[in-house]
Amino acid sequence: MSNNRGRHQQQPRNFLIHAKSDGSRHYYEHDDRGSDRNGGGSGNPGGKGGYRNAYHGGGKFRGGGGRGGRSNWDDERGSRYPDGHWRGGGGNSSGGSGYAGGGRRGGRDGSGRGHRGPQYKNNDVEMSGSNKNRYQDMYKHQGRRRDRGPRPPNMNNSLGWHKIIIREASDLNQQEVLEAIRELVREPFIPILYGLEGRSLVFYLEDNGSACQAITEISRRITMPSGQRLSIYSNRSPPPNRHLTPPERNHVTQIMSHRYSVELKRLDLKNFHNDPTLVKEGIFCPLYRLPNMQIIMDIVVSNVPSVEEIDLSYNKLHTLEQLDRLASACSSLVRLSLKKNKLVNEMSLDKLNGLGIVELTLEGNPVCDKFRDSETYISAVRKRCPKVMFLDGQDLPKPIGFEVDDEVSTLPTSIPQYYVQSSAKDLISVFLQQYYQIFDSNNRKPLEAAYTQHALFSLTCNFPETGPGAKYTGIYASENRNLRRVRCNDRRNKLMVQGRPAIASVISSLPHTTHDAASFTVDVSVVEAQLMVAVVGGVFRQVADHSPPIRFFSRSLTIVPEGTGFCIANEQLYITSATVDQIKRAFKEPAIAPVATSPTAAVESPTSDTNAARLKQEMIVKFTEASGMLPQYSELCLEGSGWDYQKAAEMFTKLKAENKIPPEYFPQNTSP
Amino acid sequence: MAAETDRTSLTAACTAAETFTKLYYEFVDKMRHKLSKLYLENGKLVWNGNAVDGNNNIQKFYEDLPPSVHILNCLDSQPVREEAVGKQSTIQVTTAGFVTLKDRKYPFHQSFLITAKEDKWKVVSDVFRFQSTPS
Repeated sequence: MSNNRGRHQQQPRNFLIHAKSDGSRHYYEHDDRGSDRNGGGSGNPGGKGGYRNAYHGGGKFRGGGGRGGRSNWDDERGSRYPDGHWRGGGGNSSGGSGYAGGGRRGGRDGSGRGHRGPQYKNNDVEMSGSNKNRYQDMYKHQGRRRDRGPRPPNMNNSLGWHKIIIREASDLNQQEVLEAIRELVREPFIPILYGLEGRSLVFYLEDNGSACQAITEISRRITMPSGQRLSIYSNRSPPPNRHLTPPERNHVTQIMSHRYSVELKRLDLKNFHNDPTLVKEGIFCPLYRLPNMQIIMDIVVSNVPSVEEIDLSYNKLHTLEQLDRLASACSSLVRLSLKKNKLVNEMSLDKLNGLGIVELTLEGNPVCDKFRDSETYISAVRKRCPKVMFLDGQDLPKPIGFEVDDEVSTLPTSIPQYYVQSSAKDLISVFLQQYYQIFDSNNRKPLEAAYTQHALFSLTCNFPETGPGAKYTGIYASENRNLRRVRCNDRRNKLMVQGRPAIASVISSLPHTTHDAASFTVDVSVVEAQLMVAVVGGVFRQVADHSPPIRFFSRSLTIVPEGTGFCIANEQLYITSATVDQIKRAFKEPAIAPVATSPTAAVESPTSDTNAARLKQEMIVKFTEASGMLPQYSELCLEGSGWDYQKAAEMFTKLKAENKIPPEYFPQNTSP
Repeated sequence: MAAETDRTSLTAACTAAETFTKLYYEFVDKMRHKLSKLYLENGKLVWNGNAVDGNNNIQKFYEDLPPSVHILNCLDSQPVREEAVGKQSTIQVTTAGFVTLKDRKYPFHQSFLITAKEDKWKVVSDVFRFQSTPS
């Protein structure tokens, strides 16, 4: 790299950067590891300019290709580290990543510095012992530490592949060497593809930065029986890629058969490539390599097609390619675990299409975090595997599918009245009639007697807060005890009306009404000695000067015997706007209250009001006839024109010509 | 005559109602096979005037309905007075909202009478009505 040349001059001979034919670079071990870190990644500030010149820190690795590039083979890592971290380029054969410097430090730390101060003091470092090293020694802390801030813990380096290289070890006994290393190194590790490479013994470590670090640290501390000191260093490395030879394939088949339980019909492929036997045999068969997965699937399909459970967890799978063969070949498969793999997007699940599995484990895959909520997650899974009932160990709600026949799901017809006991019918009818007679009159006080002494009454309503539907709803809104809106306990309690006087008072304050008894639905679901439960619903008109709105109500009553009659102990009144349907049908038959004059109803209304009201009524009738609209809409129109008949008529004609009058304003030909 | 209903009962009724309705509508919409557990053995459902007796029959009735999605707009609850139920803890819960059945949205209101049986709330009576009989 050209930008390194200048710096090279300052390096002791040990800092040799070789570009290997595969593009990776080997950085020979030496204690100034920090410097490469500085350089590592783009945008290394390197603190002082001088420092940068002094150490081939900075630019050295900056130019190093592939910096910040993502490793193809390890998506997760690529995304994990910030751009510019030399690690980003690391592991890229395209990227030139010989960061052996990381070796002693066990890989890189986040900022690419990762050196350990104290360690340098007593390192058995493979140094040429030149002053320059000490110089670098002195400075390595300052530059780096200062400008990069606190070092991330070395754990960050723990993932990815490292290659451990033991130099000049071709004459040594491999097992002895391995044992010697194991003795000194506390961290457990699995040496993958341990063998001779040129004059060095090499093996690979997967996701074990701490072991890598530990192993390289003991370099030069091991002396073999022959007197040779082991010189160990490490690189970042792409995962080794070896094709399985036919004899290796046989081994794999054998191992798989050991991992298959005949009684449970279960194939355990968990963390397959680290299977101890495979490692021992020096066979590296990671399932995330597609050719290997294909081989495995070949074996499964031809040997155990009746398998019921497969465990594919911890295999770093980023695709489920090849698993689609299971759908056709292994129809008995009911349980599948894909736990802790590297599936990133929903599309990867498509390979599971058609699998009849009932139990699936997907947790530990990045894809799981991609879903907005568990519902979307579950339905995404079920889209491919509709029979899944257990996902990640959780019982799923039974899928409500669309396999239902049309005939099955017709709704039962509604029946307007229900009485669990027919005797209740008469009772309730009389009760309601009396009640509404008073309710629809001008004086509701007598209703007090309809309640028990400490009866409870509460009102809920559902109206829009603004707009035409909100008209005249203020009274209801102020008493609204809708628990979904009223969250404060104090207010909830306050809105509960207790006792006769209070109830009578609240009821009296509600707007005047006219109820349409013909619209009533009555359900008496419980009749017992001490109580009756009745739910009454229907339509009423709220008396108002202008366009009285039609409302819908539902009262839930708990009624108890009292004296010779009955009283309400609990009442919940719900009020909302009537539907268009209901408005159309309302009051087709003469309404009860205003027309029927009962001797007890003492109506005192000032004559002027009555006159005005009568006049308006006449106007409405005339307008209705002329326009053909339903009375309430004629009323609306008249009211909108300030009860100026002429004006209203003109307005109507104009709107009708423009087709702006909604059809429901007119009586329909087919009345429901 | 019995005394006024105290605040504790009022608050308890509210809490119970909130918890109950959350469960109930979740079950009705997604897990109908769990509904029978919410009703008394001899519980009663009156669905738009159609009566169903017994918790298992009620569950079956719901299971036969098309898939539903309930949206709750209104909720209210009261502890049922002593003069009606004596010391037996009972609450009256009313709800209202919209339910989508077979791609049609119906405004509905529902009234429950729920009683405590061995520390569990169970539905004694469930009255469900569409606000308007669909034409």
